[in-house]
Amino acid sequence: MNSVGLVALYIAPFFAIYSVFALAVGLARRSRAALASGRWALVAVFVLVSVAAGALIWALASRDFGVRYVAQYTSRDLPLFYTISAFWAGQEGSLLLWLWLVSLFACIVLTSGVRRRVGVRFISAVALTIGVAELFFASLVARIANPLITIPHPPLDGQGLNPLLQDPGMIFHPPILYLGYVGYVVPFAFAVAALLLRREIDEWPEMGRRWSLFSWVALTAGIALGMKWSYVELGWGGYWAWDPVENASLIPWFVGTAFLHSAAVQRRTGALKGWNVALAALTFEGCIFGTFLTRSGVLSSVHAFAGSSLGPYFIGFMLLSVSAVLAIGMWRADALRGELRTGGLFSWESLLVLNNWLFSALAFATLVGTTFPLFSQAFAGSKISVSAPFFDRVNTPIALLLLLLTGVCTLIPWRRTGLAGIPRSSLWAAGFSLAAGVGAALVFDVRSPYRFICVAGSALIVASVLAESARAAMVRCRKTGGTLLTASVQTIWRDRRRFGGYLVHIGVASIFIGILGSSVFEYEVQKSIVVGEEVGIGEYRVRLEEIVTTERLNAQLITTRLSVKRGERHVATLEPAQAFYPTADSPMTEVAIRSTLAGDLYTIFGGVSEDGHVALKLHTKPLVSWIWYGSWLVVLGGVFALTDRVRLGNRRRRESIASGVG
Amino acid sequence: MISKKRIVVVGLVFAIGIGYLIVSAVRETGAYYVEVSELVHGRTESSGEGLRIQGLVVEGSTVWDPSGPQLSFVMADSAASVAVIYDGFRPDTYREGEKIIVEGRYDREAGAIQATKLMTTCPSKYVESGEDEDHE
Repeated sequence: MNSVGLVALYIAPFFAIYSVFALAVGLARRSRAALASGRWALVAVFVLVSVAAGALIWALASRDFGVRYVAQYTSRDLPLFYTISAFWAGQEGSLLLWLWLVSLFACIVLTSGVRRRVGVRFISAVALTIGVAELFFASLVARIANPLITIPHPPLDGQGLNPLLQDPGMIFHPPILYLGYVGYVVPFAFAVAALLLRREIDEWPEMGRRWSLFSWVALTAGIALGMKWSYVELGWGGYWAWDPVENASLIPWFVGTAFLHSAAVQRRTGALKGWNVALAALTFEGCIFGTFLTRSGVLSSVHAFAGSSLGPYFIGFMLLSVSAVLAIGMWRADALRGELRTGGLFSWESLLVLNNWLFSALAFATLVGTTFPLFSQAFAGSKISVSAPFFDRVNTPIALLLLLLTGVCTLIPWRRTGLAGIPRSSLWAAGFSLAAGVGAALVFDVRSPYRFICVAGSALIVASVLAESARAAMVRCRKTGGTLLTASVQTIWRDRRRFGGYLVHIGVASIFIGILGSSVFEYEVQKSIVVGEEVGIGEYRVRLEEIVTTERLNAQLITTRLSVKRGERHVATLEPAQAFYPTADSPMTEVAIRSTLAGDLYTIFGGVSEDGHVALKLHTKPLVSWIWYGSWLVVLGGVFALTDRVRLGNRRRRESIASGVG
Repeated sequence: MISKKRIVVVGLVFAIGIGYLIVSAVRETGAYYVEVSELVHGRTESSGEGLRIQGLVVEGSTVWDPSGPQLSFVMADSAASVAVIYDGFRPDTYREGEKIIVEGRYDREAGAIQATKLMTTCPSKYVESGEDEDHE
């Protein structure tokens, strides 16, 4: 089975080369036969890669330690569930997953309904770009990072999976993140195809909308799961450390979010054509960069860039693809021209342009911070690196401006320009949010302007969404004469992309409140106590009851039983533990959390000393669960917007707007 | 309607603002980033605060005292080594023989780093060049 997979993996790049070649020739010579064979070659790549992926799953499931990858990432005592998930625990397997997904997506694009609408030539041009990406990853997986390579003397047992990865959240986090990374290849391919053929320049963002939104949702869910995992499993009391690996997923998310918004501007006004191509390309590059950063030996520094065996290939591929897009863009520059006609600085369009600038600034600042040592060494001669405080300082004001802008944008109806066009309901919403901000400032001592903006901005989002929804429902109610309830449901269902967006924005507001609460009002106590002693934190008193040793699956557990009192009332028993895995030389912290909507009590057990002192670390994290609920709202809103139909073919209306008639 | 000129001007102001934000943040939060030998042999401008030191955790050097709690270990590169004292919990991602980045003050007299922060590798097993050869 393994050798079959290996052979399939070795052949796959050749089919990819053939496909790229045939599609390019077919496009240049207008040969339908060449295009068809090129597309079939991509299907063949998918089949071959699936065989290879199947072989790896088989090798994992049968614990074939003759395969090096299996020996490196699993062991006999590892539950089957986690053994299979070791598919993406390492570099080679993750890259195979990337390759499999991109070849799957190519097949989906080729067979989707879009093909009927755009024609064979256009879909073949899309397939060409995806084919180039497949060629890169297929060569990489076959030649440089092959997960199916065997070793001559198989060990009796494998090295085991890192215990930190033995967590349900960690099983889904990488593949979901990858769905997003890989999915962004498709909108990028649509952009390139539109430029190459000089067709659908207006419509490609809408044609690729499902893909870009799907990828965005997956990326968002992946990042949220990663945060949750970091919070629950890593046991350091936080959820975001501005680690390069985290930033690697955030940078494409920022650019991809900018793209979602600017694509909406292009659909409605026909402007920002060149900008949209640039954003699609940058999101794609960001995803490649993210894949590289998370899977190439780069840790808390980026010094290993050149040192990693994959570095040169990734950097080469990124440089090549950037130059290719630039060249094609310049070649077709005349087709990308479009005027941004707006009603002035305070109109929906200009505010969305500002939104794009802010998201780009977030992406840029995060990229600069992540790669800073490289720059400082190259230009200043000394190595200076930045960490969490840098990102907090730079990104907080930008993100808060965006938060404020989100609420304001909801209040300004599209193409209603100037302050005079703002409906009265919006003024009520603005007043409400101001009151909420002032109220929160008075009650919670939110004196800093940042905190005030955070509370007021979040309130503005919620209030403006409610005001806008109510207004839209009432307009419909008057028009159709139904009840307000049916009118609301109809309004929401008929414009799922808009109300999905609103839901996303409410989720974002919730996330901001959660971040504010858990970072600004966090409290931490670190103390060593013996059984029977107490530690106080905030309104809680935590008493160490006993220490218990138990066995669990493939680990031994040392558990501390803590009884938590608030005032005189017993509110919880928490059992933070340490797990000792035979395959790992240091224990794993298993935190215990009492989670409520108002805040979390987060307890960490650090170990017992010989004289019986137990090291405990306690955190109170107000409102932290608002981040998780907010994230699920964001994902839910994204999925809801995803169900909206593709809206093509209103070009005439747009042209009339662009020429100033509408 | 906005003219191109106005967009360019607003854009420039925006870019300068962001640039200023980044530069000032680097000035205030940036830290020198050195290898262990650069620190020990004094080939760095600063030895006081704002240091970030990279090295490997020496095998067998870890002393973890939960009653402190205090974690101490020796970190090294190919040319030098230095003791590290950290008054905090041992991170799950801490491993002997693995890369670690330590933030803190270097006390040249005592020859030890008083760490305020430990940064360890993210827990996926990263494969780096050179590591592969011995398996084949």
